[in-house]
Amino acid sequence: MTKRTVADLMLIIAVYAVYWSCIYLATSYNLPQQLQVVPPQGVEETDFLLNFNYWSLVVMGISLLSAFGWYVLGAWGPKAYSTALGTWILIWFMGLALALAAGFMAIWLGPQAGEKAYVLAAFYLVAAALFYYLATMLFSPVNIKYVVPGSKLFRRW
Amino acid sequence: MSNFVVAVGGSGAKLMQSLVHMGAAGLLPAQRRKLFALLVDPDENNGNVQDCQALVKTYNQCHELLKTGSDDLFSAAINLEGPWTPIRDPRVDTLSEIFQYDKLVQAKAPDAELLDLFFEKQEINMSIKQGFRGRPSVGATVFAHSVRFDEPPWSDLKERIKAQSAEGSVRVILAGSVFGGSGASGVPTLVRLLASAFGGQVTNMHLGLVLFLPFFQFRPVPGEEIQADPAAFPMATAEALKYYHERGFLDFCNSIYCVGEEVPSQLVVSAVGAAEQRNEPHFIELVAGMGTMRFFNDQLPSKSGALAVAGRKSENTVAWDDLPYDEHKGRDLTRKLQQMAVFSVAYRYIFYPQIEAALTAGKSQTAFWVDHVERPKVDRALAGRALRELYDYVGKFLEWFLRVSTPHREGFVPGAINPNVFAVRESGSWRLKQIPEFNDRDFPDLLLNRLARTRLDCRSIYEKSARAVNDKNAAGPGLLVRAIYDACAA
Repeated sequence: MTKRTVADLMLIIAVYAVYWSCIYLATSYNLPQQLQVVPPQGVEETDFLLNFNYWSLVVMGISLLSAFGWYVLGAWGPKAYSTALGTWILIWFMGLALALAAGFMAIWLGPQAGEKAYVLAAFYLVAAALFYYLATMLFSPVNIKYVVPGSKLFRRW
Repeated sequence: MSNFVVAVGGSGAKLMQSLVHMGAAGLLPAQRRKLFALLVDPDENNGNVQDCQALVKTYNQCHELLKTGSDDLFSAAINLEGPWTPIRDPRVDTLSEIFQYDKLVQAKAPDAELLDLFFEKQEINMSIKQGFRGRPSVGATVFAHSVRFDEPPWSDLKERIKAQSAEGSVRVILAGSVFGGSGASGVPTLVRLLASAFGGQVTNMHLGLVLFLPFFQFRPVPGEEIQADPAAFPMATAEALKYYHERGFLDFCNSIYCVGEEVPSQLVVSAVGAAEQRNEPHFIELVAGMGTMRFFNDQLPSKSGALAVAGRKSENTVAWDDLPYDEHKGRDLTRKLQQMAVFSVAYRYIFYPQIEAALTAGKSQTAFWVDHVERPKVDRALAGRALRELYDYVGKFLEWFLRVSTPHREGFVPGAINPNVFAVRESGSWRLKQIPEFNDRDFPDLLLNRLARTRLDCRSIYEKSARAVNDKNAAGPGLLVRAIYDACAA
């Protein structure tokens, strides 16, 4: 494993550390309540928040695995010089789909809000997709660094 | 500073091809990267001469279009002139016509008797436009009659040598076979004429000879009454070397390189001249090329009267360690040739398909393309021309190295590169693989008998090619090529 690879993986973890911080802050400052998300009747506020925290971390974990999976495939999987661009884009979208699927799983199995359930859904889906996109756009392996849409604009290393 | 080569006959032209490839790989001495060459051949349409001209044309396109900034890759500036033919009048085709033999006979001139004494009737009347057919005595007579140092290209060569002598020592090497026709007659005649022409005018001129001893044989060409006879080669060689010794060539030549092979290769010769006479490259030309590089390097210590011997460990192979080199910088030369081989295979089979796709589409997401062509805003048309010329050149390089590694000899085993990586054997002969036939899993096995710690790997070369090139002299399409070349370093 080269130094560059180790650095990339650490930086992906750093991106997800930011994601984790968002979840921590959202839970600590009870962001759902501030956004007027109401737990269902009979469910305590604290239990609701704990459940929300748990499922957010599950979504984050699967999104991180997707990002790692993309990196591993890019670095050691199909050969970049003999794999079509379309194939790489398909692989990337499959990683994104997996992250989003985790979000949908959290929506289905996670805490069910009495009101404004869409806020939680948006949080799960947007966070999963956004951090997957940021991690892959900024820190893909060199051989496929410009495959992720938009990476040509931002990536200079 | 310039080096000068006078390449005589088909063997001389083949040595010149080796020198072009070695120049492309950066083997010329650092302080002497210019090469001025003159091809000499009575047969202007000789296949080997034509191949040499085509190769130099492609090389020069790459040299002009690719500013790689590298001290090695395409660093040599090569100027090729010729072929010069000693047959001054194209209407004249025989010794009889050159010396107006019939008139001499009618006039009962002593010259006619001399011609009868030295030549058989067949030789006086044989066509010489397609070479001297293994008759060096005929060739020597024609050369001595024809060379004029006040006429191009000899006058041009003379002026260049004089200009060069003002800057430093001049290195002039003549190359040809001793057993054939053109080389056997041209080399000793021309070197003596050159030495006389400069006399005391250029005191820092070093003259060298590369003499090819027999290294191939061929079956008689049907339908040709007069042709070279391989069975006579050993005797002709012995006589030629005796001639060089007895006439004191070492008194005015600084170096003489004699290269030959104990077990000759079987060459297919379908004709005795013209474009059909096209002998394949042989590893002996690579060995001779290494000797030439040694001769050109004026920084190496030299000793008068020294004898250097090149040999190899095993008779049926030529490995990297078998290539003769000077103890001072020799390993470096081998490393550069290895890097050139790796670069050629990588460029042709791994990078070029994506380059061609990017040129066709006008854009690409490929890292090396974005970083070295799109972002620096390299002109696409220029990039296309340059990169396609390079593809053409590396094909020629690989073809040459393939032939050099696989001479037509029973039991010969390639010892430097593995031809199976980039070539296939069909009907007893080799050809380069088409791109879809290439298997990148074979790539690590390209260089044989190599004592390097790192293993060749397509993936890492591909990854390294996206790295920045820290050389301001690399520009245009040369930036991409330099990145790939640097990625191929062992």
